[in-house]
Amino acid sequence: MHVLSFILEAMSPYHFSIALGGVVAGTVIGALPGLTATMAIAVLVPLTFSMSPTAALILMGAIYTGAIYGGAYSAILLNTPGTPSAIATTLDGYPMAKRGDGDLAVTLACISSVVGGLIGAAFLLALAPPLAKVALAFGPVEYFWLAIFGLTLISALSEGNLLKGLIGGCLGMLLTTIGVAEISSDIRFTFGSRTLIGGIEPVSALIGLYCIPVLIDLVATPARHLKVTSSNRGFRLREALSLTWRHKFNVLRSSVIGTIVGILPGAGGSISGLVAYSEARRTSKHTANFGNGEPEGVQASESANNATVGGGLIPTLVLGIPGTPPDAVILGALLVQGVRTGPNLFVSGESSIIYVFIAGLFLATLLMLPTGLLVGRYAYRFIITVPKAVLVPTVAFMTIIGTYAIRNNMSDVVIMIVLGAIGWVLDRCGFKPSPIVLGLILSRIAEQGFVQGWTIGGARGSIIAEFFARPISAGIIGFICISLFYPIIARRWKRNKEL
Amino acid sequence: MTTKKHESDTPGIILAGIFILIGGIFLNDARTLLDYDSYVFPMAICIVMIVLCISFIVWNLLKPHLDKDATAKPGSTVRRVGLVMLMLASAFVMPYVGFLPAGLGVFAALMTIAMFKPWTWKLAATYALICVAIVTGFYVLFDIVFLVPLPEIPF
Repeated sequence: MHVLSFILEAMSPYHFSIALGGVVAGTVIGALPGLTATMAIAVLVPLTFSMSPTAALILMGAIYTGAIYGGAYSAILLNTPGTPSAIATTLDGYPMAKRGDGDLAVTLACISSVVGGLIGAAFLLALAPPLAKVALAFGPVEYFWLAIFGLTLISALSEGNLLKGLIGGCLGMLLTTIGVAEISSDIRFTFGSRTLIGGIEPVSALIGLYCIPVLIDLVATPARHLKVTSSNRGFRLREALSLTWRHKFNVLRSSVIGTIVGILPGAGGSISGLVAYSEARRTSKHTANFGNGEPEGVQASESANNATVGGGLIPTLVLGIPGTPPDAVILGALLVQGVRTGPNLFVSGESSIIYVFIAGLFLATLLMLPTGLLVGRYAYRFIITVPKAVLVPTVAFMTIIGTYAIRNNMSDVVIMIVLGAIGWVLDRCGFKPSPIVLGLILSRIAEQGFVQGWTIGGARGSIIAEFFARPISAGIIGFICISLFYPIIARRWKRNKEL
Repeated sequence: MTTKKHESDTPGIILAGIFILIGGIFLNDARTLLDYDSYVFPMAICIVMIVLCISFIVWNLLKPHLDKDATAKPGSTVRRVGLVMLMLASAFVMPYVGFLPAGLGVFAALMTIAMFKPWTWKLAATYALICVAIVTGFYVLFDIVFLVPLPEIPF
């Protein structure tokens, strides 16, 4: 009876319209490169101050869900992740769009995001308190190994060019060390340049590395940006649903990965997308197609990143520790509303607010289907029909203003453009941008975990035991070994079987 | 019987050499840092990168092979360089002349280098309107809606 009343309250016309508005606003903001989900919520948070706590939570949850999904549009259609969560979506989404399947990729991303979002919300509803306790067992060393686990994706992204991929990953990690040091706050590797003191902002770097090379090639020839198919194939919903059903285990596994990574404070959608992509590639029957427009890649990334929404809210609501950066903004807004997060939240008098919010999150995720399909369809048609003389300056302008908006700093724009030009040269020499971006994204977590683990291990008398003997660490190291060596073992096994 | 001559990945080798140099510079600079929290991680990365680059060069010298992914891309170099230069110019000019004037100028210039059809008066007028609409639209969205403090016109 209680459950029904929560659902009915979440579906009241007021909450319904708030959820719909939030999803649309989030989707549009998320689609603009540089404007992250965190920024989308932060910008719209003042609107929530005059609302009831329930309505405020529903609005923020809807914006968050929409923004994470919105990042897929630019990832698929422009090879530029709208939000860092969509990095892994570019790997197969853009090749799909280039061969004329952009509409299918957008629809697949939408369905996968909805499934991922629903599974994340279901975990939030059913398992919030016990799962939050698991997250507390993660120490710096576990985060370090988690980042290394994310980096093993380089081996998957650089088949045939593993050394180049690893060098690219190191370069990305090295770039992140420029500026103020993560732990000690020393200023490193600026070589006297004031521009470099602020460091290289990962989001602006990934905009540069992914988008500028595309623009450079786009402007050079009169050829069309994406392949245009003559027939109007609509949403290609049936095809996308059939693919989702065929790869249901991939979507489910990726959603669970997204939820678990979301629960870990500070990890976020970019890591979950990459880990899920890596696992999808490892277990797929079409491993060789990954990176060349394999729908399973888009499904894995999108279901995982939207599952982090529900997953990230678990430690936020149960422990008061934000799981992802947008959760930190939500937490702040909740404090303004007078809602005290913590283990008692689910049993106290305020529990009805939380349950209505979870019902609202389900509603917002479901609303993403019609909204996402409609926005996606128009975005796709716009991108394939707009003349190049309009598309190039618009995207270039979007990257400039989006990068500037991250820290209101023009130095970030200069770094973004320079990195983009360097990325184009590297790409021509066979050094792909994805390993560099992976290094950029994971380096901060890796460094923090490494240095803290080193310090703790030193204080305890055994650094090696600190890094290798903890049970969760050992488990993650096991996954790293599987991820690294499984393709080699599987190939040998297959060859032996053929002989 | 002819022996097939393998081409080596010269651009890759040159870049690996540059990365060794970069790694060396970073390694040398890391020695000036006093707190081990600051240098232990970057030093480890530098060493790994240098080792990987040396392995890449040695491997390529022993077993030369051309990277299939490293392909020349067709198209106009002038337009490519022009795009990067214009984008950089916009970043340098914007703080001094303000977002709207710099934005309009750069947007129009980018339109010109991305145009492959001959210009007509009608086309120019249409594109000028599109340019004003998009730049103003971005200004309204970011400056007024998202409250991003865009560079203002200084007069």
